[in-house]
Amino acid sequence: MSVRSVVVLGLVLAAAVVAQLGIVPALFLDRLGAPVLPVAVLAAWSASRRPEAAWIAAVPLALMLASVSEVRAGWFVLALAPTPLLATSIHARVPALPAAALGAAAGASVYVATLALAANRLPLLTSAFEATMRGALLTALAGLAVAVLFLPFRPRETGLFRS
Amino acid sequence: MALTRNFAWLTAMVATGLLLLIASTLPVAPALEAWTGALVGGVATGARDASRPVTDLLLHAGQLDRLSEENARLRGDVARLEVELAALREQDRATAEVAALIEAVGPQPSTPVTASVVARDANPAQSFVVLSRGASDGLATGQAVLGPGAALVGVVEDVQPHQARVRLLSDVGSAVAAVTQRSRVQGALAGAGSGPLELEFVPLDAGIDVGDLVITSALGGVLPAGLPVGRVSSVARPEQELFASIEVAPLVDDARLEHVIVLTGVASTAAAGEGPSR
Repeated sequence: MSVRSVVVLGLVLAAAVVAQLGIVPALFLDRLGAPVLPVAVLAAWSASRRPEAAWIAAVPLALMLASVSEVRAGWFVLALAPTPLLATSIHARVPALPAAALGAAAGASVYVATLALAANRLPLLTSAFEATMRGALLTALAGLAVAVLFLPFRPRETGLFRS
Repeated sequence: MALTRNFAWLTAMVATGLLLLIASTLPVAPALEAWTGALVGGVATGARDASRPVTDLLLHAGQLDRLSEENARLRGDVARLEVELAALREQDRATAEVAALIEAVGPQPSTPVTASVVARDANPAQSFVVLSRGASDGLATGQAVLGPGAALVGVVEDVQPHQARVRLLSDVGSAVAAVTQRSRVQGALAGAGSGPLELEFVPLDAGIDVGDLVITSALGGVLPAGLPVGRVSSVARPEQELFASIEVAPLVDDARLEHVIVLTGVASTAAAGEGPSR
């Protein structure tokens, strides 16, 4: 992990937060059915690169999201924390692109569930199950798209015959 | 090895989260949050405004048929409203006389303050927005927030000096006293988190039909009476239930709110325990 990785991911996540708060609500009327772009970025990064930067960048990301929410920043950290783990665990079994999509979907589900718990809204997960699944699916598509964008920048092994 | 390392990171993150939860009780936390919120909200609002041409294009692509139908329906509505307007003009003259009397008796009960929506709650399980005005502009908890057409969209939940947080009607924790304008049936209008609102505690035999206008009731003791909220979109009367199941489509699409009016000077924090949140 390098400082440059953390800075680059931090900038990408900041852009994702701005898009999530400024653009996504204009396109998706149903909050639960909307993609969670920061989760998609975290999953894509963790699946296509080493996940350490994702863990570190998740903390300022949580602070940014919590600044415009009723829910405290600590809950956002808890909600975002599983995403890198899920994406890397899935990537251990499948290639990077599907791992990014699956990690994003799983991460989005955990994210929404944790925040619903924090806001004492757990029944919403069953009453709006369809919307929640739609949000997870769209987050998976966003994760896949971001992972494709990250592909050219993947770190590669140096040395022609390195095993 | 990698698995152990990842679980170590996860543990560190959980510990950080718990530490932040404890730190959020510090006195400096609200001020820091307001400052960060203003910054993040400002940038997000800029992004929203800059992307509006594209988002509008995406939203309306392939909807020409629906827009044509909507246009035809709106033309019909305009014709009907013109007839109503003529009748209302007559009433207006009488109302003006009453208003003059009220003004002579005391100050105006409410002062409208316009505000911009600077951010939406990042938690998809909640429906809150952050406004650009706060306590320094006269905002207080419990005040009604109106959208286009003077329709109620939410209630002020929390105020900072220069910001206020509004609980939208669609929030699961929102409940306001409401009445149908035509049949005067009382109920509690509750948010469902997504989709239409629900008018609760309405008896099965209540005379409510699809299309009825729902307005606020003074029964809650918090909101002014008569603010339009929505129209009844579906009515079901299951025989095995005590109450009818009534859905109300809000008059204002709160996902698109950009500017609102806050009725300051109407309600106050004294309304605790009875009011918009449940």
